[in-house]
Amino acid sequence: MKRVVRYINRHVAPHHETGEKALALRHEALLFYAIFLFLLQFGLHFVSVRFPGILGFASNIAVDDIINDTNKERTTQGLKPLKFDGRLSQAASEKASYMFAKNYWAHTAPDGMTPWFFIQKTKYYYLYAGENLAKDFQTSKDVVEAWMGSKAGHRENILNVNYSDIGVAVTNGVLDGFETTLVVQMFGSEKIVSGMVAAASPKEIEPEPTPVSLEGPTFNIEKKFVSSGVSVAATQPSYTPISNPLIPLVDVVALGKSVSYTFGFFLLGLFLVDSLIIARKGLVRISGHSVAHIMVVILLLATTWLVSPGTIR
Amino acid sequence: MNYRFHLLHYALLLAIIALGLFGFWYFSFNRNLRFGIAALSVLGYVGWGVWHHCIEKRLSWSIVLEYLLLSLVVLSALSLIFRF
Repeated sequence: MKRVVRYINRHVAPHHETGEKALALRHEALLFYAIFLFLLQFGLHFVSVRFPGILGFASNIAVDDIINDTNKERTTQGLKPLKFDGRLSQAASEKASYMFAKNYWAHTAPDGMTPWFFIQKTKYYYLYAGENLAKDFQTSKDVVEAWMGSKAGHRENILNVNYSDIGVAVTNGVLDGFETTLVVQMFGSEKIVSGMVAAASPKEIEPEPTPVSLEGPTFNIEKKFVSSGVSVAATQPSYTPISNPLIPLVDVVALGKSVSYTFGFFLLGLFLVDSLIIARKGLVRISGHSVAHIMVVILLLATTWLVSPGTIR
Repeated sequence: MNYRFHLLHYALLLAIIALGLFGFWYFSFNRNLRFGIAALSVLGYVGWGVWHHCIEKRLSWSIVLEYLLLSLVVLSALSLIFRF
């Protein structure tokens, strides 16, 4: 028993036999932690790509929730709620699949394909159109909150009075070597002719849609519209919400957070013990300051706690 | 070194850490910026360590290595979640 206590003591507390530094805080130990975390990341990445059913990106994002939350934001601001449009949803779904197939994460593909191509392909001939993108989020609420908190045009898209329709796709796949869930939200409005929404053939539409800013994270465009007088009822697909929450055995993000918390609190504890004992003994040693180390460990813990891994465009 | 000296130095480190945390949170939805801010924050911490120990006239390679290794641990742990 004594040996066990001595062993633990040497590892967690500064002692003259270990150069007044806990063994778990020596350079070798810190290097071991860094290598372990690095290898763990590679291991998790490998397993999540090879065996997504066991270890993967677990998301619980539903199309309905995204649409409802978006409309809640609009009604809160006194705007009309958006109507679900199957064609916009189809366009969003095809855009998401295209991003996975071409391995890109942007409004415009490397080959120049814009969101407007996917919208037109579904015969939704818009007067206004816009697109919001999100990935690596775990809940619908987080996605909409991120868009609403954005200063880069996502919020403007959600609260744009020119839009009347919405389509959303939630698609899982591997992007940039990482398994993820993509959310594509498309907005639009068609020109109303004689009290009904009309569609037009692609040839009749001039000019080609031109985004306000090609570099911008969201697009909000206006184009001329020539009606052919076809009613929306004849062309609009039925409402088929697309929602495919992926639930692997182990969620890779939750696992990453757990490991991060474990290391954070472990190091925090060690540095606290270290600084208390050193202060109590009044020791002077050649070492970094534990208080400074505590601060950077708190940065790790606070970031893990506060920040969502999701990104938007 | 007096108490005021340490207080000022630690206040500066606290400002670096707080700025890093705020930046990470504020630009949390931009992957590239997130990595940049995390890297700058830990670089700021290492830079602070070197500067502080240099002024204390107690700087050694062992101390620099300690700050660098802990930075590496923090970045690796963040990378597990944010996929840098």
